Amino acid sequence: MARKLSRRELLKFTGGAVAGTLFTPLPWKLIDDIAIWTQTSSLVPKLTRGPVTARAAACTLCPAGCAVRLSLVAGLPYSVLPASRGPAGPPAICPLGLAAHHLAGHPLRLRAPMARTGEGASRHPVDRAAAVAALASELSGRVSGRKRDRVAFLDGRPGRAVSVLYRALMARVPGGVYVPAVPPEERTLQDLRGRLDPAPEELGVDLDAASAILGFGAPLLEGWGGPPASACLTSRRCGEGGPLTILQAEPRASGTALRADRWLQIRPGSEAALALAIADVLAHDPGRAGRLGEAAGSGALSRLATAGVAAAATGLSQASIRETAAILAAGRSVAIGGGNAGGGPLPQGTETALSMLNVLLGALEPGGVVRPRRALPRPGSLRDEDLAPPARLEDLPDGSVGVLIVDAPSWSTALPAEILDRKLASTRRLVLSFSPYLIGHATLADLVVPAPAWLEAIEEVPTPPAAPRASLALSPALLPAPPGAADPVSFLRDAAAAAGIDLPGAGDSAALIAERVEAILAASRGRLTARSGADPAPLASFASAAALSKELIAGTLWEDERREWPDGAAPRMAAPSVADLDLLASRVAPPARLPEAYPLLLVPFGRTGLSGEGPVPPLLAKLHRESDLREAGATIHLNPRTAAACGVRDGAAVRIETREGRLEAIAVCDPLLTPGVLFAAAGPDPEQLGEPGPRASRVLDLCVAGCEEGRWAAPARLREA
Amino acid sequence: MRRAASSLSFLLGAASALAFGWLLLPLALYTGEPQPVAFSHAAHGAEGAGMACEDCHGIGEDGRFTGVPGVAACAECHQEPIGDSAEEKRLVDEFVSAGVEIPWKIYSRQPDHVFFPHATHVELAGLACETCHGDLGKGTAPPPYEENRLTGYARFSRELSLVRIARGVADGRKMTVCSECHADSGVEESCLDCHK
Repeated sequence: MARKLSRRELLKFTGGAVAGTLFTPLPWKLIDDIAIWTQTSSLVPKLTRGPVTARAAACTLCPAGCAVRLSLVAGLPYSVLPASRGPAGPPAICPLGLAAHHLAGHPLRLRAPMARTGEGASRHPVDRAAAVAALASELSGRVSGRKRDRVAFLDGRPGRAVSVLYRALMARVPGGVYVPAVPPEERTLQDLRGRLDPAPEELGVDLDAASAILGFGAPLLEGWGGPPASACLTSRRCGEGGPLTILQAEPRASGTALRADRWLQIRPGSEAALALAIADVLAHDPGRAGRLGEAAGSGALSRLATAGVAAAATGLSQASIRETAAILAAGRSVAIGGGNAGGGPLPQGTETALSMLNVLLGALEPGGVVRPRRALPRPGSLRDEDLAPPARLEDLPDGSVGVLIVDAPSWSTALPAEILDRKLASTRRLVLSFSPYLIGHATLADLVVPAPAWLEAIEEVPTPPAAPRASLALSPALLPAPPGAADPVSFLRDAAAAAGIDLPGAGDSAALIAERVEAILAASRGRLTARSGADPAPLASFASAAALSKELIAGTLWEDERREWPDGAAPRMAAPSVADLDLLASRVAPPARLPEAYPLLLVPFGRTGLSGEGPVPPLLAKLHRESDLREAGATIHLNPRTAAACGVRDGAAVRIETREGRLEAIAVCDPLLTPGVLFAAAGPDPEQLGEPGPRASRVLDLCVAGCEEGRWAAPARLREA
Repeated sequence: MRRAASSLSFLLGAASALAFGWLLLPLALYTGEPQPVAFSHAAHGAEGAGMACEDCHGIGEDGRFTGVPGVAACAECHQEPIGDSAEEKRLVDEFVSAGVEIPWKIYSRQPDHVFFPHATHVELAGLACETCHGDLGKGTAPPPYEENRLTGYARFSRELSLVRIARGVADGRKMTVCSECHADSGVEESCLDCHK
């Protein structure tokens, strides 16, 4: 008879099994393997696996358009390295570009158009049709005459093929103005070009031709003209390509100032005085004075500024000013101003002084450093007479803009929100931003339409700022854009059509780029340069624009021919007007005393790639959070004597107050800095995941709100917080 | 009697657990799949065709380990069958002639968060291939590819033995084995060296 298993025996069996299990690998292996399973299960996002490939591309986050080499796995970029733009140029890129491939996945990336909800900061998604209708309504109101305030288009990266369409749109909207964000490197050149007769199409700077450069706050060795241009200068300082003397005039101990052959530590705002004094010294050479005509004749320059006057304004000695003039006179020299990414423009009138100095230096003479250059060919469907002329933001009356459209906000160079705010009408209708991210200017916008991020659409890199010749590079589309992303050109065409505005041509941004390539092919000029140094096919051998586009997307660069002055002679510079001279005269006077309540001067500065309105890849947070390689936003740099006078210790939390507001920061003492000046780093806030942080605490808004003479600086006071 | 029965039950339970844990667990835990081609290292190695490990598994100019060679490497010699084995003929027909990559199952796949540079260990430290890969190069057939159903990793290179006691590097490489070898060799290590 079968014996029934008792409960006791069952329990004993179970107990034995448990005890035995402990002496087997079962529990220990399961613990280990389940832990690993939690990492490898399909529920956990994993790195992509696949073939490792490389592609040529160009970073389009700023006008420099550095050439890059992407490493991809299964078609996804995982590494960005700088590449040479041609066989001669050294590879270079800024920190923003180095990690730019992360930006498509930034936490603030938008995936659908977002409209502001009420007056607050909250937003809700809207569909594309609603966004188009909102813009179309505003545009049609102006076409019909119901609304009369201005429509302004702020183009953060002018010179692209799409920029031409934006000008065409503004030309067809009553009250429309096209406002290009002028790269800081181009401001001096634009002033100079406006004074030349005959005026060339554009001007560029051939740094390779210079034997001496006098920089007025220009980050010559830190990104002026783009990282590749700075890399060329650095190579020359290391002995490649002929001797180069760098003289840097600025109040701050920047990287360029410390590595220059001579650092002229001038007072903030005294750049014009120094430039005019050097010009005056040079003008005493009869061979040079004739270049400036009446402006230099009869002691006109001496009436503006002599070495003695400049010494009082700048704080330099007369001897050092004369020695500087002698160094510049000895070779092919050029004076370059501005370009600090967070420092804003030079004081009004300084560009005129630099223009006069450059003419006297012979920078425009044949073989000189400043050269004429042609503009890039226009897309064929758009004609010059159909386009709105470029306007300057500072020339727009305050409170006159009812509709502001912003494309490609400046990511490398700061454009404070305060400046845009001033131009907007109090009863503003619409601010629309084409931005992949809800950051910077996009946070001002009533409607943000996500444009494709870098590598999500074919983009072009037109001529970099101050480049000596026109060029064009293309960057490929490698990543899928989110479904809600909109090509700005397509969006604007739809809005224009709904508003009854007839825009010439058809197609999206890629179509306009194709038209530009076609125009280049038709112009039959210039040459193609391959990245690798291998000779690409000659331009004439390309049978179609499509074939040329393919070559450009593969990494080849198109460069225009070098231009010379017509008839081999430099154009004459028109004599400065009375208004110009009055302004210059005011610039050379010693600076006005600051008010007693605000005895210090707050001046911003920034670094290429990290001062703009764009997002910062979290990877780069290391640069300004964990190291001293970049000055973090919310730090104030000052001379220890100034700190002591204010009762502030090095490293202490401080409060800076101006008439317009206050700012909390950390004090950093540096004995090399000019006493009496607070140098505020305009960069990512280390406490805000790299983003600029709340508006009220941004140093740029304070500097701009209190600025005079067009420069970003404000009287301030300082104490420990 | 009752006590004896009860003790017997306990022992039976323990024995069952021991049997399951030692004998049945591996069968349940690991899948078994053959390699797509029964490649004979012995036939290609020093005592066969006279090839060295680095002829197929070398380190490139940029320092990257080339890993398992592609079918193009096989095609250099096996455009046509050289011997008379059916397996070689299948290699030529199904892969070489068709230009199809052989879908090898990789024994030594490490987790994504592990960075293992062959160049450092082979060229800098001078380790022989056999140190970590044992007698793999002498086999006449590839070892069975057994994959842990839970983790997805191959048994051969990581956990030949379920008991990680007194096992050498060639018996499977988990982090403890690597660290022990580093310690024995006097190599200082930090987290970032292997987990970049």
